[in-house]
Amino acid sequence: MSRVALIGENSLEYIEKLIHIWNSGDCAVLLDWRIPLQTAIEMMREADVYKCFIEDGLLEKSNISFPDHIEFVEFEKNIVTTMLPQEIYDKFQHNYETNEAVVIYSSGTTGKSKGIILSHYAINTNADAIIDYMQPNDNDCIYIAKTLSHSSTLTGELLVALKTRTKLVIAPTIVPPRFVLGNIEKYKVSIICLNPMLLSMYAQEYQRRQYDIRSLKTIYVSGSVLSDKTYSIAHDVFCGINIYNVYGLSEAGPRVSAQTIDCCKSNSVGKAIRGVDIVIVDENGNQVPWGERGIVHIKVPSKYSGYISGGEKHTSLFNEYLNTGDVGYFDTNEELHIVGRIDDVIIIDAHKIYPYDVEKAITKNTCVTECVILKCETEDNTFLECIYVSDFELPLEDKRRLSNLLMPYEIPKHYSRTDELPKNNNGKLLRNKKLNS
Amino acid sequence: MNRTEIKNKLIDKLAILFENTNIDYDLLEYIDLIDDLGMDSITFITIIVEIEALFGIIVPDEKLQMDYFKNVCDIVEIVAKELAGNSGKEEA
Repeated sequence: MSRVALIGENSLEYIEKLIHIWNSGDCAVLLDWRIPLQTAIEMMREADVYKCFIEDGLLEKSNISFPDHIEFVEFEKNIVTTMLPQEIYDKFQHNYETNEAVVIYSSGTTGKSKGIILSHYAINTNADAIIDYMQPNDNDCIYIAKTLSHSSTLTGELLVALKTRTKLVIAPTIVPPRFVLGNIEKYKVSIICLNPMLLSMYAQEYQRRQYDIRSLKTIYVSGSVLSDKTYSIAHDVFCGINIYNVYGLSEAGPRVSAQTIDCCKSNSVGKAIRGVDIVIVDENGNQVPWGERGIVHIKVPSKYSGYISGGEKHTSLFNEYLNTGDVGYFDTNEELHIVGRIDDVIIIDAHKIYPYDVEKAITKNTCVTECVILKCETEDNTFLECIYVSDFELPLEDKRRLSNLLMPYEIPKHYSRTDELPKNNNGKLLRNKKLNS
Repeated sequence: MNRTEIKNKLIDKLAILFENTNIDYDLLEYIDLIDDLGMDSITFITIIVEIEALFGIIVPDEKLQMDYFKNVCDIVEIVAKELAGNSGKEEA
């Protein structure tokens, strides 16, 4: 078994190369084609890659020298929208071996991307659990709107389609919303998986222009916490279409939980999928009482084999369950809610403050459309600052209203208005990025 | 609409989209949107949506790649071609 890199935009050729790598007994190192080539080469070195299949044209753009020990093989790039043909389904082999299948790089907001090693057993088991709740049938058609180099797309869409032989539409991903909505109409797409940013963009486009998307049954949303506002708008705009949050992390295969018809009462991330156990613990590893916030730990059959660079991101606090680093709670319907990252929790005067809760209270009860809560420290004082986006300065009466909704230590002492909050391509707020106020 | 008019409207729009970069308005015409301003995929999609609405055009599928939108000059050519296609003649 050797590691072979694969770099390219979504295409039939990309999928063919991926299946070829697997059928050859090798592990596919999936690199996002938008990464600068020099960075990609360093990642390949770290992963001990010996060969790289790379889309036609990506090598020409760079002026760098290539390492001798990596063989670069270009493959043709066809930027077309197409259905996955039968011969590709026929080439796919079901595989539950524990040897390496892929190395995926996380798209998180903190720190350097880590190469996450997933076995065939991990991704196929996780895909089976996704099939279990998605239940695609012969009439379904899945549209891939996000890059195949991400675990959610690879396992939750491509593998699901290959294993069940569900119709699959492959298309370029960096396209305007009208392109995707037009393709949903053209190909009679019934299932699509989006992140909150794409969901918001497509909802805006659908309000602007009419598309016949009656075929669309379900939109799955993942990648970052879906704001209540986007959740509400999407449900209004895409009336009659199921919009389900799903949650996970690449280290878990990636899917951990999903909303379904039986558990989608609010903006939760649903319940644990088949084979997964979720517990919520405090910093000492004790399970918290029902409804209280804590650190989400999971036990999954599709757990990653390790990181390329070794080590672990967060130490397990509970029975060797995987520490997700996320903070969450179970509601009265036993549905999981994710409120943010443990790294984002702010401690002031021994009070634990969850920025997400404060941000939600502000956007729900004032003129602010979105905001971020940051911890500010001076020589004499530590307090909360709110950086917000709004058409005008936050009026005094809005600030006063917050004093009836939040604990005193949760009320920001300082407010700054900005034009835009920094986010990554998934819509995840980049809390550590310097803001221009 | 001639190319100068297209360029001026386009630069006005790009100035708003790239406001956070503090780029000098007068330099927008000459710089590389990807290498100099860090245009990412979301910004690219936003540019497409905005110029299609601004000029009443549809960017052809084969041009929906960031490499075709590296600078103002390239974008003006795309817009001018689509406007000419819509109106049946091309202006200088």
